[in-house]
Amino acid sequence: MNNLSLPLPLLSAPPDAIAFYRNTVPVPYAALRADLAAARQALARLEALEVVLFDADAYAFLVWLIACWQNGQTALLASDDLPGTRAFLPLPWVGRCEGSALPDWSDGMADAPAFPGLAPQFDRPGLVVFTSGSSGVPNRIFKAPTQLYREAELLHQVFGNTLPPDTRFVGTVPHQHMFGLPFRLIWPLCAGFPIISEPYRYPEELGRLSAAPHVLISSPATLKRLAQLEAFSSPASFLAAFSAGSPLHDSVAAVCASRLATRMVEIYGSTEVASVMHRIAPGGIWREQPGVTLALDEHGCLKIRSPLLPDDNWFQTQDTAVLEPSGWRLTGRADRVAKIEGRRVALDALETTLLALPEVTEARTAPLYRERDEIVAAVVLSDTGHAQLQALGKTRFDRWLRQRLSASLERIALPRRWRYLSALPYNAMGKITTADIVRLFERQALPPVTVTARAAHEMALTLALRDCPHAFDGHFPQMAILPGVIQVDWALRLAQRYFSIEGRFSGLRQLRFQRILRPDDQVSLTLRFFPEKKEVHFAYSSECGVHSQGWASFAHPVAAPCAAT
Amino acid sequence: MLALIDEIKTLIIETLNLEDVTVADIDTDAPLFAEGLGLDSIDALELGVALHKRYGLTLSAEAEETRQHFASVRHLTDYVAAHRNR
Repeated sequence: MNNLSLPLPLLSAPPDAIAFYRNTVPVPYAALRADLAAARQALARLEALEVVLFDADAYAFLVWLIACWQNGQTALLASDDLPGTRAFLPLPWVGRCEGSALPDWSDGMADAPAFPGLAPQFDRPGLVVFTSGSSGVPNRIFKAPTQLYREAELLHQVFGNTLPPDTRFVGTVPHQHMFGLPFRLIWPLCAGFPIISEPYRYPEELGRLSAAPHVLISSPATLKRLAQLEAFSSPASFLAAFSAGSPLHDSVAAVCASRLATRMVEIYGSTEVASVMHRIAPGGIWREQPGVTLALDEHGCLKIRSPLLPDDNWFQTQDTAVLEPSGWRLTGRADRVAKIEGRRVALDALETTLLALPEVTEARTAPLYRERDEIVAAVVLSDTGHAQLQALGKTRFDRWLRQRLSASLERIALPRRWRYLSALPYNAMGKITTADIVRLFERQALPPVTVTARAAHEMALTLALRDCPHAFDGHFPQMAILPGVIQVDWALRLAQRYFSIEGRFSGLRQLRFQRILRPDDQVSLTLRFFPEKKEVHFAYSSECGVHSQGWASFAHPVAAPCAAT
Repeated sequence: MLALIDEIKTLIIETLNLEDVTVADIDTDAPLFAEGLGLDSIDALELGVALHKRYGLTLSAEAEETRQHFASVRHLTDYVAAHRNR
């Protein structure tokens, strides 16, 4: 019975047909079958109904997974083998990882019965994956192997029919998540396409692929960087590129479509519901996968019925959408779960962790989606916190807080920017809006800077004033002028960025504001550092001449007082 | 080499848009990831692209090797000095 639900190529592909490439070496089906039989035997000896599976090698991972399913064992997928995760899952760990009970299947080599062997007598869910719930406690999601095989069939029906049989599947995304697993491994396994085992983490690595047809399984995190490369070329031909995890912006999709010379397919889905919709980016509208029905609840959130769900009930999401004449448009999320570079971050859980620190009395976090997605935090400190901030200085204190949080939170969920306030920005309704938090981080932002000349102690920069509208706010209501205090602040911060200046800012002299600075001015900033005097000269100028200039001096700080803890 | 160390620190600050962090704040021998600067996997991706753009380096697929180059600014500087072609 179970053998019938094995992916067909495992049973029927010729022994010398290629199943995988590991470090460019082809792995034929004969080897895959032998490894599966050995892994199955080794796993059976563990006598565990549930195991935790973690292996950074996609080939080994897939062998273990299919062997688990053949044995009727359930594999819990861990996304890392960090001590916290190992403590959270006190079961036998399988695969090459820290504390593994079964790092490889050599144990099962000698006496393994021939593949595929007998089907087991019982049926178990097969797979458990974890998602971060809104409380921050991971939710267990159960999947049956048949659900994954059904998804593979659907993917093949929608996207795979025109692919030549030697198309290689290559991925930049991890294989132990519910996008990488079905797209990078299960679909090609079920359809008989060879799989490239190593992940291609960096976009420029794709230039090393061989001259063969490929399907790329990627994410906006990598595609954004592919679009930023000065040049890109690869001998590979790409027949399609898939992206999921977070929104793929049309501008990125357009550059990638031309660089990869292929169509970019964006997938909308989740760990719980698998793939739900797809669109061809840039510009394409979202279309439901076959059999999927979508509707909106009373809050404008999508709900889903899908043949890939275990039952016929509506699955409620927190993703908001609108139905337009041409199709669905996704508009955001209704809950306080942020998506940071494709990973879910529960803001409530993050704030709870922050508030548990004795240094923090109030905290509010928000996602900021700029060049890169990041979490920012506005914090009101306790007396202890203030003392610590004084002792360490802001940069070290920021880092110290991140360090304190990293014990219990994924690194990507840690705030990258901090503001220490005397009070949080409550509005008249007594609420704090995300927009008000985000504004705290925009006002002090430096304008985009281009370096035009660089020497050891001298820098020339051009500043894009237009891109820094907040800097012009509130000085003169009727006319946008860059305040002098901001000009000085930028000059000091940029000087500290480019020169190794020891000591802290200690004073200004000979400040002169000769011409006003308007958003449209083409302005350049020259910074000259005199290390022996510990002074920086700065001058803002344009074709009209010098706008402002001055000297800033730095001095060694008086020894910081000990932290009162 | 000292100049290259500062150049790489500047590259890190600019690429990752690290707020309030100055060249003087980055310890040449402290780990870039875990403790120390506390960078994450997306930072690694951003840095990889920036190193490729600036120095023509292509990082290897073998994660372990890449992790060693990213161990500290000093490791990264040594790697850039030895392999740059731009």
